Amino acid sequence: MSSFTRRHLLLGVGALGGLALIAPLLLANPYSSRLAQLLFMNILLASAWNLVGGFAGQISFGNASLFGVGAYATSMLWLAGFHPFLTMPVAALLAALYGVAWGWPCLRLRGPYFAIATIGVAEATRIVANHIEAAGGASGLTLPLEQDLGPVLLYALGAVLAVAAVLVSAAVRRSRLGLGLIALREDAQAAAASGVNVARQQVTVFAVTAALTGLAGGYYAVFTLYIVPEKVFGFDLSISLVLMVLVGGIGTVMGPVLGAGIYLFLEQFVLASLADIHLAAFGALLIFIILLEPRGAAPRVAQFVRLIRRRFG
Amino acid sequence: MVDLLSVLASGILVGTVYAYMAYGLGLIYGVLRVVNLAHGAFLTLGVYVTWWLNTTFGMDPLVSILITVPLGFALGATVERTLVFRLRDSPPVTTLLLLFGVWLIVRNALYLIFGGADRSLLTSYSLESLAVGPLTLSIPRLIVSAFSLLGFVVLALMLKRTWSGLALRAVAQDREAAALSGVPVNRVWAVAFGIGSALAMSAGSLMSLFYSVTPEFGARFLLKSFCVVVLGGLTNIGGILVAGIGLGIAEDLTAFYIHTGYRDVVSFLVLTAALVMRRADAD
Repeated sequence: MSSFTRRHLLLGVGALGGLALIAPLLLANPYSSRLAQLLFMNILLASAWNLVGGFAGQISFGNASLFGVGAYATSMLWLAGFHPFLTMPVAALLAALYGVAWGWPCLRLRGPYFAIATIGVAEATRIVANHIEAAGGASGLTLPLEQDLGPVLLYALGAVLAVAAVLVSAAVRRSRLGLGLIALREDAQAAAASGVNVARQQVTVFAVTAALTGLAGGYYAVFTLYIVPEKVFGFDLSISLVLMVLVGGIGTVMGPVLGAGIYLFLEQFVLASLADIHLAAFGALLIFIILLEPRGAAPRVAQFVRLIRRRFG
Repeated sequence: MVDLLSVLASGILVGTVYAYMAYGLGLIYGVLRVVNLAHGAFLTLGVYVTWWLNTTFGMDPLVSILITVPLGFALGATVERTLVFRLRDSPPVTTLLLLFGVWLIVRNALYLIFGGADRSLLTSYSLESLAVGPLTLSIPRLIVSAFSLLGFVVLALMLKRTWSGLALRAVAQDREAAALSGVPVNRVWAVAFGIGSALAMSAGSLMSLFYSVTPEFGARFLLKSFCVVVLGGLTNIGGILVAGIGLGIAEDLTAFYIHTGYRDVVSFLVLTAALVMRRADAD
């Protein structure tokens, strides 16, 4: 991708350096390292979802099907004796293949039709996964606890994956491909008329979404060491991605990152104390964002940053 | 052969209920161009209200329809007036997400009120069956199927013969032209959402006769409703009836000849296939 500029590379290296600097802080205890792992996973998932959901405006409620494929690919290969790092590319590849397999027909649909079709695919996948005995059936798979990679390696892996996802997202945003998708979101007919190959561009980007989501699944398996179909293929997972991106700011590069953080904070600190009403709290949040802040937190934060700069810069 | 016949018969009986359950979704889409993701919430609410009326006052589920219909109408019209109405010029995906939020809130409320346990009710005729030749047909299924067909007839007459029905059809066909001819579009929207929700809640009353319920009940049936509506052609009453019966039969055949666990996979796959084949290009 020609639009992947040197500046992006520098920013990426800078972000990794920053993450390395604060690593001792986050690796202080098992809980904080778990939080960091979840944050990296969320960033990966939300940025991946946003490629098609945000740039092309195609809302998928089915990304759990890709996450699950990645989680299972990594787990089964790991159990077969491969090193977890080696299983990651396979997880990405298999998820991408599965994503193209159902994305290719479904992405011809637009708007609510696409959204509904993705629910159908993901739920069918979940039920089938529950019945595959070779993969542990409904009780899932337990991974070798004694081969745990340890917090430092997991942190490094997560940081690299998350930064890579954001860079990919920035690259797509600036590429011909990304511009084509945005044109498509704004006006599908006009985009097609101006020579955007609507179907192919969406499928290409969806393959990237799927690969990144599969990586997130593989990463999840590696740090939780236990997967069940109801969780990794679950509808709740698909919904949480949509929420993250909406909270942060749909269709922007930094929105999903912001949303991943806000979501994790809400999930861990606010909802933990409201366990009884966490569904309603999420529902109310969703309604609130859609009615009052449809562009999410990103524009507000950008506004705030500009304000600070003007005052002190 | 008898096996096949009884599978077909049970598929047809369940299928008519599927069609009745789905129709509200199609009506709301037809008139408002809104995908009612809260449809499953109204279905579930209908089952719970019926269950509560039955276990507390001993009310027959069929009688409780007299309560779930007006209650559903009031709730649906309220949701439309307070929430959906504000988004009437936004892309359809935003209302879909908004209504998903409503569904989450209802699900949570049901967990708080009724807990997560399976609830089911038993009437004097719950276990009765009728022998027709070599077949044994369950009485509750026959009754529910008959009520569903009756509901369809009432609805068809309402849409064809009454002024409100005419207004609904006019708005579904062309919102601006209807508004120009003096149809109060805002009110018609609220009414359509109300009727759609009343249909869903009363379908819940009927379904309580042979399904147990948890707060998660709605998800499966929401997807089945989508499947029926997309196959049958959104607001086409006859098409929806045929699609409902088709889905009922396909599911029962799968459950009988392949694996009970795969019953729901059929509807999800049919749904996706139907969507893709229709290539319905949304606005």
